Amino acid sequence: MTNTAKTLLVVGRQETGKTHYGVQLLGRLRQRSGKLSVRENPESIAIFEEGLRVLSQGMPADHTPTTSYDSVRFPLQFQHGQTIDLVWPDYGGEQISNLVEQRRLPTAWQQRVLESSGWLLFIRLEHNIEYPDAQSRPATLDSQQVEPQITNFQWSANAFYTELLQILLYAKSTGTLSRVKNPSLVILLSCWDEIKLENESTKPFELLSQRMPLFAEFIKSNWVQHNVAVFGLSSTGKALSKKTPDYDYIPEDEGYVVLPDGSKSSDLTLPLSELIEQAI
Amino acid sequence: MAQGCKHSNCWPEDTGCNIEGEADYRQCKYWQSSGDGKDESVSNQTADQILPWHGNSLGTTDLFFVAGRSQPLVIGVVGAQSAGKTTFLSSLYLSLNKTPQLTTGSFAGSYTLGGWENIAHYLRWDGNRYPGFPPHTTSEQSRIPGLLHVAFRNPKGQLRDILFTDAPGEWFSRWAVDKHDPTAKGADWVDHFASGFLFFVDSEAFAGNQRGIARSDLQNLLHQLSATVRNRPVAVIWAKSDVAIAEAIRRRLQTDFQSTLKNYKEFAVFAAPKDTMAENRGEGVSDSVEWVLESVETVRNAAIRIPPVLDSDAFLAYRGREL
Repeated sequence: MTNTAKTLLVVGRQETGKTHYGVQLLGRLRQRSGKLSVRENPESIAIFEEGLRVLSQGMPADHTPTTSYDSVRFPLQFQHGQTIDLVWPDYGGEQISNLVEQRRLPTAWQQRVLESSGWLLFIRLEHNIEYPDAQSRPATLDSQQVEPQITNFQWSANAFYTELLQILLYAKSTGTLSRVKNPSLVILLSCWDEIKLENESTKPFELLSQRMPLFAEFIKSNWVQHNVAVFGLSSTGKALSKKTPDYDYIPEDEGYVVLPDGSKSSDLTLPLSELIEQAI
Repeated sequence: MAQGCKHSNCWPEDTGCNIEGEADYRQCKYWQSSGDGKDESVSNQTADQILPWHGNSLGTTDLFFVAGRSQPLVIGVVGAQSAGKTTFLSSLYLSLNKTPQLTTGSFAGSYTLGGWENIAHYLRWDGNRYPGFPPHTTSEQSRIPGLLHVAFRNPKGQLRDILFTDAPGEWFSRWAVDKHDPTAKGADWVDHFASGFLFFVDSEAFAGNQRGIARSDLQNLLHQLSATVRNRPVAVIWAKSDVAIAEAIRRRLQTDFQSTLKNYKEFAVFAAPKDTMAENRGEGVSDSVEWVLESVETVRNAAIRIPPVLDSDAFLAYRGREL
């Protein structure tokens, strides 16, 4: 039986947890206990070889080289029997930062965006650049004392991610005059375990709205409600350290996702199955 | 020989091939290479697609990209230099960053995020720095006057593109005394294309020693604007309203507004008052913008006035069959 392969665009800056999720996803898919599983063993899992080894030793995976882009083909099936092949990539996240900063779409990325039917966007909130501003803090000093020479600054996370999606939509030749259906979008708020929540039952979209209001509104305004979902993700369940490996760490038993309704599940394949179902 | 596009309104190196739409602008028939082989050395980059917007504030040709999808509404930001125009715009962006909804719609993107970030940065707290007013904008500076874009999706689901003009006050000061001053063409552009205005009154100037001059300048500008404003809405912004001004002057100015503008409303804004936690600091900002946008829609959607029926002529009297 032949399966047309679905290509998902996996979008994440450096250190947003793409590799960890890929490695953990492979583990879960091979266990065949989640909503999605592999029909047969993928022919090559070379791109995750190193990641699998270090994670099993209770250590975090290394940074994926900036310029590399490789992928693995997962032959998948849903619990209810439907089958699909999925091309899952791993790459250095600087390529994503460069899209926005250099304002050029390399040919390879043009192709990837055009072929993709669903986008999986990783955002690590704790690594976001946020500036407190004059409107939310009292100005106790006279304005005359200000040095206005701030030239080299980075865009706030709100602006960065909004621009990133605008660029990707442009590359996909998708306008926003009417709301977007294709591509579907799943946002993963990664490293959920490092976020200090005031309320444990906070839904991922609520958290996104609190922390990145402008970007969250951009998503809400421009996507058809059924074609976008926000999940929380902790691929490894806790922070791992190179210096103090946790030798008793069993990757398959760790990690969870926070579903859009705020509940937790250890089935790491759920965001992916959601995206595939939306995108089909 | 300088390299570039032979067309005067195409900048392929910044925003891609505008005329022929070539993926590689060096293949365009209008492309003129320098002839010294320099551009060939970077040819491995040419397969990269160049984005048609650069993210900074837009020039009048860059506008084509935004205007291609809908007719954008231009909001003219008018006022003398250092009246608080740029501070207002950065406050608007920062308040949208926190509350991205206006009564007229919710944030749906912007093709000038870089431009917004640039001006907003000066009102931000960065470590030990304190918020300051944006640097003075003049016609000579490298920060180029331009249009700041923001899209809103209204409750009906329709997308509205809005452009705020970010122009130096000198333009308006020149334009106030001579509509055809060649150094103030931009002000005339704003007057021509704007659907609504934010008109700035610098409270600080009216509290200082130069208040007589400030009033005379403001009146010149007001009268120049009123000559062409017709029914377009004008939000009068009392900027830096934390600075107290004499009541007599305030009343005099208010009488001026009443006698010259048909469709206007006053708003008070201040950017960074001392010693106050200001929850409401951005309020006048979004209120005034909401009012202008709503008023523009009202003016645009006003019922068409049908001339009185002429019953002497059957042809002209015909108003269609009643349903």
